[in-house]
Parts: sequence; C-alpha cells; structure tokens
Amino acid sequence: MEGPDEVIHQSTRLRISAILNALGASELMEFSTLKALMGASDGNMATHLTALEKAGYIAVTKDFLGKKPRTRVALTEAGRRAFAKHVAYLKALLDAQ
Amino acid sequence: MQISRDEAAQALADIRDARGRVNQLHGYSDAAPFLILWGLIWLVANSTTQFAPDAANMTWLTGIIAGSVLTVVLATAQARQRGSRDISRHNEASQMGARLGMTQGVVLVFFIGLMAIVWPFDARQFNALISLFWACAYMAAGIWIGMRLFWIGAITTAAILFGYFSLEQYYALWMGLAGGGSLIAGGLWLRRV
Repeated sequence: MEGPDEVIHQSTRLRISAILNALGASELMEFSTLKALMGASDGNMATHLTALEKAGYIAVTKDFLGKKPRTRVALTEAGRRAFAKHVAYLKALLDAQ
Repeated sequence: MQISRDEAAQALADIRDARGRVNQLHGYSDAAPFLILWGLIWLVANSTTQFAPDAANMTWLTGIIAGSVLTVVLATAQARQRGSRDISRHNEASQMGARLGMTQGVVLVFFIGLMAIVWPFDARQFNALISLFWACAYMAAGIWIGMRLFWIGAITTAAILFGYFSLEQYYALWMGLAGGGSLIAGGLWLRRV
C-alpha cells in the first residue's frame, strides 16, 4: 500500500482538492467561490493554494472578465492522480484495520 | 507520516462533504435562471390579470408557451455546458430537450385531468392550484438539491395560500408581486455562493 500524500492530507488542502476534484475535467473555479465554499480567509487560502501549486497539483489562471480581474483555479492531471491515490490510501487504511 | 483510522475516516467524511457542496453549488446555479424566468412570467401575467383582465388569457398563453420553450432551451444549454466540462456526460444535451418536453407534457396531462375532475372552478382557484403545484415542486426539489430551494418554495407556497384566502380582490396583483417576486429574488439568491 502506497503512503499518504503529505501535501494533500493537510485538512484545508484536502478539502480544496476534494472541491476541485468534484468539478468537470476542464472546469475552473473562481477563487472567490472556492474561498466561500471553504469558509477560509484570503491569507489562509493563499498559503494552501501556493503549497498545492508548488506541488504541481493545481493550476492558477488569472485573467479579466470585462474590466474585472479574475483568479480561477483547477486541479491538474497530476493533482487528480495524487488525490485519487490519496483517497485510495485512506480507504485501504480503513479496510485493512 | 502516520495516519490513524479515525483521521482517515474523518478525511473521507470531509471529502464527501466537499463533493456535496460542489453538487449543491451546481444545482443552485442550474436552478437559478429557471426561477428568474418563471418569476418574471408570473409577475407580468398576474399583473396583466389584475389590471387588464381582457388581455389575461392571451398573456398567460403567450407566457406559458414562451416559458416552456425557453425552459427547454436553457436546460439543453446547461446540459451542453456540463458535457463540455465532463466527457462522460456529453450525451446529456441531446436527451435533455426531449425529456423536458415529455415532462412538460405529463404536467399538462395532469392539469387537464385536474381541470376535468374539479370543474367547475373560477380563474383564481385554477391560478392558485397551478401556482401551488409548482411552489410545492420547488420545495420537493429543494429536499434533494439544497435547502435554499426548499425555502424559496415554502415562502412562495405561504404567499399563494395567504393571497388566496386573504386577498380575494387583489389576489392576481399579490401573486405577481409576492409570488413572482419571491421566485425572482429566490433565483438571485441561488446565484450567490
């Protein structure tokens, strides 16, 4: 059994990954929507999104909607694979004991 | 890194909760335009019934036909968007229009049967029955999609019953403002995260 993914397992990052993993393959989520779903502060979100981005698990896209700046995030293919592996590990851990 | 059984169970519960939140968000954003559309139709047609009763039948007929067509168009567009996001759902769009059209046909049969059974009735009674049917349908949908939709249906139901039993003369105006208004406000509320 492979070990847990230390980047994903942290509680906030796990929930961020779970939310983004529930989106369609090419779907992006606005930062403000993700923050509202998480009920987290800007600073807390930024810290954990940076950790996920450094691991290559999420992609952050910045653009403009009209004149309004917009930040959107999505799980990368590597992020989806890592999340699936981590979930499989958690399930295996429960089944094994 | 060691993870206990309790931690693993908690993590899986957090993942299920997160997935539920995203499904609810999608459900709300899908339902919002329909509530706004039908709220506008209720507002215009009921106001016409109150202030220009001669034009009421034509306004309702136009509103219901336009609303039904737009409902199919909107639902098909939403299914197409879901299909472009998720390849496993790319066939949904082609089935959505036909299924919605058939569902509207079933509802039409229900109301024709209802009219035949409870005849004779006046326009106010029929308006209240149809409106109550849809408001309760929103409540029922809310039980599955999310409580915001349930409360929109509940408030609309309360408005219909209050208007029917307390505001006989101004029932249509009340239904336009309170019934249509609650659907429009509810649709806008669903668009907020």
